[in-house]
Amino acid sequence: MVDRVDINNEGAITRTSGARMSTAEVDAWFRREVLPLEAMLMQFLQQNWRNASDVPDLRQEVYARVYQAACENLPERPKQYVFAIARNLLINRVRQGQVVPIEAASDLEALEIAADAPGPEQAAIARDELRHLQAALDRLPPRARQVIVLRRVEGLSRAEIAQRMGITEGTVSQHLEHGIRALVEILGGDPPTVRRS
Amino acid sequence: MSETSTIEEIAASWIRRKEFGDWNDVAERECAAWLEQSVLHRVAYLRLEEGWKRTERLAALREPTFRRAHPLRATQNWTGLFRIATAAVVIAAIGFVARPYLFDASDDVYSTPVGGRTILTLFDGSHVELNTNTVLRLGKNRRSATLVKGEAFFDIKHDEKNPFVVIASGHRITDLGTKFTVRDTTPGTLEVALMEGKARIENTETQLSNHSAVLKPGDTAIASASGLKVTRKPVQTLVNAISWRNGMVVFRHMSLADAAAEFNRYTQKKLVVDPKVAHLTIDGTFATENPETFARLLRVALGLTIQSRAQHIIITR
Repeated sequence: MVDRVDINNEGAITRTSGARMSTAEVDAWFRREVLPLEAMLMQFLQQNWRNASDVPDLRQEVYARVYQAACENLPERPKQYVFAIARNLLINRVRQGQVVPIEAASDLEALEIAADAPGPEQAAIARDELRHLQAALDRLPPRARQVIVLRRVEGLSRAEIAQRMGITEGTVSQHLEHGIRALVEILGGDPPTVRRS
Repeated sequence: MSETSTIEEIAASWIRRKEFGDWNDVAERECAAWLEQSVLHRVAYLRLEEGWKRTERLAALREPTFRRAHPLRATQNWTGLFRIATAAVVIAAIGFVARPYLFDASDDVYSTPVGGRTILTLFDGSHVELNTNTVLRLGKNRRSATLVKGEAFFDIKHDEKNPFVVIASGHRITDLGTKFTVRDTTPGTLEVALMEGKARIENTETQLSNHSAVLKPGDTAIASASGLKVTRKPVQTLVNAISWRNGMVVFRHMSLADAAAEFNRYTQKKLVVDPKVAHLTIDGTFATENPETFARLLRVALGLTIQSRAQHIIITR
């Protein structure tokens, strides 16, 4: 009888061999490198896709593909990578005729140029963050804005917010959920360079 | 309603629940399961959560600017100046200490059941992963943690002015820019393994020099009543030892007895090894959630006899 044996159960090898990233690593990378590109990505998708109502789905599809790829290996140039994925996705959609006819993606050559343009916008986002947030808040529905302000600025609990606004805690929750979604949409859809001279 | 919109709605409800403290181990598990279900779920969640986190900065608007609706005309210039000064201080302070945390500070005890695993991500990109059967308290300032029991992996963003400190079993581990694990699963011994960077470990009760050490990559410190013992291994060996982060255990030339003990940390159903076969050496990579697969392989590869009972799997020749 041998005293030693090398055994591996199926699936184990691929999951532990070298490059696979941990979820926490990919999450942190995704937050740090990919999400800040949202304003640019939205601009890119809106300019190159006729049907505006498809854009949120396209954006999420780009994110999912980028994230999936990053689980194997973090792309070294995130911005180029994100826009390459976005571009391929648009081209494939056009080719498959899934949603719109071929002229929908205006000029496929132009997509490359947009992706290569430098992005000073990000620095602007950081500098202007507070003003940017305030502007976004101003565009929220009043109740949602009030809940967010009471929570973030005044630091109140849900019960306190409910009391202050004279609504139930359940309604506070609803306003917060709507508020978060709307705010993130505004923050991401609003190219920050527009306001700058 | 589009799929994106439905997913987003669910993601928003998780974030709201966390924000308002409608949260417990069950919610944690359900949320994790939902995130695992689809990458579309995960990216929607990350996007909303990141956006929501950005609004923490709104705390900078507290008092000074929000009172502007009622200016005191007679002293406008003075109070105006005063307000600007206050706002600057508040913003500066917020830049450094404003609740920069993903998890709300109101609840700072995190635990995992047997077989569980949890990842805590801190705002600065640091993260802490809890292995099976672990209890960890995270300090309100998120720069300190106490390992009450179990094992945790720390990947800490170094901040010279504000080093991350872990307290475990009477010892203080201070990060000097690091990835390390702390394991306190055997009574009387504490194990600290360092994969990257530098960390200092010291006994909090004694100043004796044999009770403190600075660890370098590959070092494992084993602390017991008699002092600290530091051994150096290839970093890859230590990395294998944290395969639990992917739900795996890696055994390299490990005795069957030790391998079974390692497995038993993760499952309710325990492996029991006959002392006659305890010395057999095991190599391989296994999913922690499935001791049955492991036992089956022992039968196939080593010809051992496996008896599965309600609470135990008995391994004999």
